[in-house]
Amino acid sequence: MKEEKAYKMLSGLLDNELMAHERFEIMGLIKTDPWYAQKHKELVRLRESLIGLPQMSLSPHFEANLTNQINNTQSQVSWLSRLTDYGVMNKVAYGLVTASIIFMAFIGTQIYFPNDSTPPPSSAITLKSPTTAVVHESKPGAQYQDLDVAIIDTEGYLNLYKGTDFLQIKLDEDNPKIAPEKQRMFREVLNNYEYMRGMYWKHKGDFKKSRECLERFIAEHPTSGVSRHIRTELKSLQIKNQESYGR
Amino acid sequence: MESHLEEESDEILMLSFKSGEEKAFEEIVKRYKTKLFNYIYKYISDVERSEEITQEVFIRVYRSRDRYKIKAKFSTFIYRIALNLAFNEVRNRNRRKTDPHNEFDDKIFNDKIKEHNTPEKLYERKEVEIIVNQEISNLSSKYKDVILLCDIEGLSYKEVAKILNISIGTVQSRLSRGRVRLKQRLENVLNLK
Repeated sequence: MKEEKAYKMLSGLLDNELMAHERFEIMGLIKTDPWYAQKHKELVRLRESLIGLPQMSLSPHFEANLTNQINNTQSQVSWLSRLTDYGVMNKVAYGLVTASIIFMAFIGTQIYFPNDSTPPPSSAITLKSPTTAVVHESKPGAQYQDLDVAIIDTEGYLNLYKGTDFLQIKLDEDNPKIAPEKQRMFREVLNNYEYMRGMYWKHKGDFKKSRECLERFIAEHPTSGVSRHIRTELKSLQIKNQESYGR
Repeated sequence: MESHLEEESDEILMLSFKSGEEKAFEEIVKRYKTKLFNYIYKYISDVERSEEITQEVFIRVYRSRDRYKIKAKFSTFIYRIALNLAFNEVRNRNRRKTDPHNEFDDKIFNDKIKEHNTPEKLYERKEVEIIVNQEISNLSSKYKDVILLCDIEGLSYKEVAKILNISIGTVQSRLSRGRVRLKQRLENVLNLK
């Protein structure tokens, strides 16, 4: 035990990691006790031998190889990040949703409406990417954080996309019956249902209906963050209303 | 900017690198490549793999630049990565081992020295280096870790404690015991007495 403590002190002295009083103590012992002096000498030699071990050299291509590896890793990462990127995933989801809707619509029209010449709601079918949104005024993709995209199409459908989930609501109908799980999924947008309808009617040119919807929205969501935007919309509707009456 | 990089601390270099200065990373590689390579080599005794692992250390540093924060010395951070990778390599090798003669064994090693090395040869520098490296490798991991970091890499107890996630007192004890063991094994080879 005593020896172990002695080695610990000697080791600490070697590394210059002793407190002042410990250092003083062990230095005194080295000077007065031959055993301490001998062990200290041995440890110093050992340490010198270890420090003096020659360093091996790396191959001359080390840095070039490293650069290549980093470039490879980066391209893999960027490929992966591009794939998992929100926008790309949207597009992938779009592709899947669009393809499945085209397929379902095609099958549906063939089975149930073989002689019906009325095309199914065109929104999802004509949809190619988020930038082809039919109604641009509402800027739905930017407004709803939790939603991939919301698009009002020319047929009056509100098309909501969230991952692989899709919901289509006819905006010119009141009180749409939407499955509860879908309601939960798209709650944020459905809370703004009247706003969507307002945008839709505005797009259709029925400013009176549009104004009614937007006013209803403000009444239902007095503290909503989009109210400022809607008030601007209302002002523009008022002008448009006056213009249409003037005509 | 480039001319100042050599004078900057490791931590400042990492921050520069984080903010997009690629040259700062090159300087870090320049500073640490040989040290890390030798450090890893002493763990795994395989030149080619040591070089690959050294590259892996730098790749990890490169990837982690966005997350880097100055919490401790950069050397602590990079040696920690190197230690983990070297440790994984040793562990994987031990799992793969089927030939018992491949394993490090004090007795076999000492017998080999007795059989194949005359005293004259033992004092030849290269032979001594091989033996010292081999004896360091033969130490159990807890002693080897502290000896490599303190004696070979010259890190402080505080840094070693952080890298190994142990207390400074434990570093001190392990280092002292490890040195005694190493000293006993190398007494004749290094002519310590």
